Amino acid sequence: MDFEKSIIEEFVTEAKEHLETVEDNLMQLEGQADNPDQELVNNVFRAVHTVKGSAGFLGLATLAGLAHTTETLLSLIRSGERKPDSKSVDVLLQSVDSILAMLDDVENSNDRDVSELIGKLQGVIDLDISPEAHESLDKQVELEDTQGRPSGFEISDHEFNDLLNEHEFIYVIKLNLTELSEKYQKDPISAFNQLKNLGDVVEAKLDPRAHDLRQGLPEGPLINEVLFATKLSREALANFFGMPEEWIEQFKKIEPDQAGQPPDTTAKDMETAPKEVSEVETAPETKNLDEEQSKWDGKDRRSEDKRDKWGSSERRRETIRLKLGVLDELMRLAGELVLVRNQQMMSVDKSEPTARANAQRLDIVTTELQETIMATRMQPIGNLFNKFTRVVRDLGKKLNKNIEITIAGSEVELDNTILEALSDPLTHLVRNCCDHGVESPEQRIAAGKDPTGQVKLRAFHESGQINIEIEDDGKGIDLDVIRKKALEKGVKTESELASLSDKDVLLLILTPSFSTADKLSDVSGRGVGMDVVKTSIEELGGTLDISSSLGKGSKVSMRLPLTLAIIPCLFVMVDEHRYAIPQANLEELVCLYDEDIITKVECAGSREIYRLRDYLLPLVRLNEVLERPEPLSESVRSEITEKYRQKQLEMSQRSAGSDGDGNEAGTGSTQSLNIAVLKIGVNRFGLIVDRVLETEEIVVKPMHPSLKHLKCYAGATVMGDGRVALILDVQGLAQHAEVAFEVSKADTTDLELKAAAEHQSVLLFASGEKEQFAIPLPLIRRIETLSIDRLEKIGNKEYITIDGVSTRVLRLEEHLNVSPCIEHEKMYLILPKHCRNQFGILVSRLIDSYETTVDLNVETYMEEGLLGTTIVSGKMTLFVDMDTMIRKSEPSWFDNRGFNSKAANAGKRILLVEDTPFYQQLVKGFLKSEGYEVTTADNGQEGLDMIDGGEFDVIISDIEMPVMDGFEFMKNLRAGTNQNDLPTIALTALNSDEDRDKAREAGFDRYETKLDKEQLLNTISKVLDSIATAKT
Amino acid sequence: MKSASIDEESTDSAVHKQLCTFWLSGRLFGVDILDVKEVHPKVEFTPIYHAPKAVRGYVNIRGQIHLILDLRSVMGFETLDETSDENCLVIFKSRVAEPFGVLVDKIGDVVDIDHEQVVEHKEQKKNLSDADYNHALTSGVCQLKDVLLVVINSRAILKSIESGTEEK
Repeated sequence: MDFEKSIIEEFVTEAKEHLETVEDNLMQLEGQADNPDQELVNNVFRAVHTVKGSAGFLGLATLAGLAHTTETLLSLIRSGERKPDSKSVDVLLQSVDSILAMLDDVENSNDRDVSELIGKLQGVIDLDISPEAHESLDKQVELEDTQGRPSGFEISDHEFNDLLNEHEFIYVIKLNLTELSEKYQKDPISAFNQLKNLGDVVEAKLDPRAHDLRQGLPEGPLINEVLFATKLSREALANFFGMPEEWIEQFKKIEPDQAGQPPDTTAKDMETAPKEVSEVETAPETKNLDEEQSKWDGKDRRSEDKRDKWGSSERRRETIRLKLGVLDELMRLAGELVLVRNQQMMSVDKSEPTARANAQRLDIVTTELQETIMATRMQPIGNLFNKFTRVVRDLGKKLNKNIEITIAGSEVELDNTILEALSDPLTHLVRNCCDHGVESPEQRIAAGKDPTGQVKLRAFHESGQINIEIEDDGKGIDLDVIRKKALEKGVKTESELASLSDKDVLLLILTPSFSTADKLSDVSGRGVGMDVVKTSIEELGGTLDISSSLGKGSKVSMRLPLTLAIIPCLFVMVDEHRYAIPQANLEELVCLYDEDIITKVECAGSREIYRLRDYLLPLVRLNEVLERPEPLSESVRSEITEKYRQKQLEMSQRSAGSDGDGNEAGTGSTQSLNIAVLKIGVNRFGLIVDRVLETEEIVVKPMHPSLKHLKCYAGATVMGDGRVALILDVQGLAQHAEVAFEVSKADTTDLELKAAAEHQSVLLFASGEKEQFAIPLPLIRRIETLSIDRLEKIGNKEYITIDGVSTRVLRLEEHLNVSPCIEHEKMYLILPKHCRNQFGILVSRLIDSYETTVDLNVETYMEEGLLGTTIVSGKMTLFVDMDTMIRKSEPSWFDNRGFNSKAANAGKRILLVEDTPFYQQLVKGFLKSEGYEVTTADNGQEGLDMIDGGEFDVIISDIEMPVMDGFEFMKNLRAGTNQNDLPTIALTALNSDEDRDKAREAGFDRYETKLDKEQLLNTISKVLDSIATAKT
Repeated sequence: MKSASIDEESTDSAVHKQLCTFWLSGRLFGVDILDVKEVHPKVEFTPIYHAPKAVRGYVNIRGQIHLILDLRSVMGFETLDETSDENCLVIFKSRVAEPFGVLVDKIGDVVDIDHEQVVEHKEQKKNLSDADYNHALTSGVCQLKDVLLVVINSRAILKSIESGTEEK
């Protein structure tokens, strides 16, 4: 039945509230052992007493039993028989803990075994107390009623005397609960609370038939017997309480000669009671009782409030309990009101003074309302901090250390949800401070420190966030120990460690399974912890930082948002829809204009990247990501990258040509690219959005349960204009886009792996200030040093005389969309191989020659005059196509074959068998530009397979290849029946007569050396021509 | 007052039932009117990319965010891009599921039907388990005067997109 359940729930909440301050009070008492503050003792006593009474009343026998023994010890302290020394406080704290634990699991509390704890309590109680007191504790007082019948309750002499100091009568009230609820509309709890207001419930027991109320009310009348002490007479009590007098039986001690109790003071009471009777219904707390109560309540306003709640007093209450759901609903409504307000503000006629004034008032009131509702969720962090006093005290004892805790900023308020989630991580950190941080007193003295260690907890507001610091003045964190552990656990290798900064080493303790405690203790050191702490803080949208100085102490600082329900977000626009990015994930905003979009966004493999200072920032285009429900694969990524490369290329060409074209110039207004730099932990990536709007505080609504699987969204929110905007989940987005965070690193290792098998030497050089260029070394004849003033200008062309030959000088910026050449005193001229007329490329600086496999990327960024791009030592490098460049600048040097024959070449299929990716791409590139269709194979075997699968007009093959070399390939090809007449060209770096002969023997028709492009193209067209003539 | 009258009716819902009807692609469908919270004129959706095809997006109806499905798509009809003014949203009560609604072509009348009028799928396919029955999008058909009414199980609508994503 829900009824009983709610009673028990009510009891639990109330009992917890009573016990809330007990821990604190006990610890204060411990400090003043010699002269305990009576107020504090009373407070604790009262709390435990109330719990005992209520528990007995509800049939929670074990709980009541433990509370009873605890109370006994407390009563000794109250009467001054015992000092609240640390031993007593210890056991009292334990009991309170145990009581709280039972309250948490009240359903099973009766099955709990508390005998050990009770034994402990008893042990402390029995310890050196005066024999008289001991005797009075041991001696049970039998109570009898006027007819001499026993009461059924047993209390000790000590307790009895205690009661009589406060009260005059002892009654046993047989509460008929069934009748109570039926006839008087009182539920047991309110009845009980009312009784508490009227006197002191010493003990209560349920009718044995219903020893456990949780099973439901038994059939028939349910009798609850309550041993009750009060100053009120029987009639007055019956009147106040509103129950039949016959329920109440007066009891006294069996020994009639027991002093201290006036036999009958009813008359005295009767003098005052009747006066009050008429007021009973409306105000049971009469003056008389008020006095009594104020004595009871002392300074404790809280318990006063509690009492009021159940009495019918009109006294003001300061706190109420209410369900979080109600608050959430209020919050939602306030949010809605804000929307209405916004619309109202827009529609209101500003010229009309009354309307404007009203609108303004509505505005202010709404804002205040919203803020107030927000405030209801806020709790002072002190609620959480205070519990650490106990933690530190207990740990100090356990570890034999003297530790003091200082708490600052208890008044700082935090959202309740965050506060709750903070409890575990903070506990762990404080424990760490005590266990790992603070040294034993001996060590501290040896180190010249105060033997008492300090742990400081501090909370403060800063820039809209809460900062919490946990600091100790202990031994600090030894970086060498961390390094050693990291090696042992295999978290890092020695070389990796060497490259880490001290700070990074320190942060290693946040990695999973990392603990620096020398020996495992039950306090800490299990190696689960710091990483969990970090994760839980990050889950709350916070950050964690550690600093430490060896021998002086360490400090953990965390920053947390004020609330989870409302977070500041940046709004961005994509395709006319707004999306919110949590500010916590936002690092910075970058905006690129015009040509920077083309030059600064580089390509690495299938990705676009942007060099943000020293960091290669992977870029993700939000619109493309949103369009694709499946995680972006490699091929999709390159598709996207290529798409934008093309677009930007077109754009740049358009803007370049816009001088002559008026229409184009109009549309070619300033272009911009907005990049939101987002962070996930230490990683960063750039999100490209159409527009960046404003920052706003938004109320987060979770995603619809049916859409929970969408990883890209963290939730949704209603905007000021009433429309819904989605909140992006930065982590999910990065996963969906398959952002690789170590682009540069990953790519170079990849390249290095390949390089082990295949080497290609390239010359790296710079011309302008920005770009890095490369030319394969085999294509360079030599490099000439020259001084800039030797250049001769004829028209707009530059020449220089080298070895008596006049040489055309090309500047890269003449042909490529790159920054202009920086002119130094000393310049370099790169002279290519295989060119009839001499020319050179002017270079301002030689960087390096570099051994690498060159995997040319021709899809992402391409313009005429380039072979492609690649990443060399983390930087995007442009490979210059010298041949195309000279063709462009000196077309007259070349015969007509090249460009005009494109159409003729269309449809001619060439199979290119070449193992080196660089040459493969290079040759394929210029063949394609001549209009041929090119198929590639990586070795002879692949080549044969290809030939089986399709028809080719010409085969070009390298000689030195893995798996099957060129000779073998050709022999196999010629051995086949139907491919005897297929023209073949060997293309190789081998250049001896022996090799030429061998190639001819194998069956190659032609032999070309790497790599005279002009010559090769001529050969190809000759071969094709000869076939064509043979056919006709 | 209104809710009271509905409650009265619901007591003998074993015999009488009211259906909120609407049109989809020229056919008449209905859902139990007790499941319907309101009928709302079509508003602009906030699209949710990556969501199943049937999801039209989010809308804000009095401060609460609702997920809107295109019922045409759920029922396997072709989705209409061109939407007329007659299109509207049928929003379901929270007891059906988390806030959601469906986009329909046109709202119809409230139809009173007797229980016997509905030919339940369950009766036709006796071997269906209860679980299957609850998952079935349509719970039965009902012959009205001049048109056949298909009764949709409003509780199964969201399940259709959930199971759809599982298959993916």
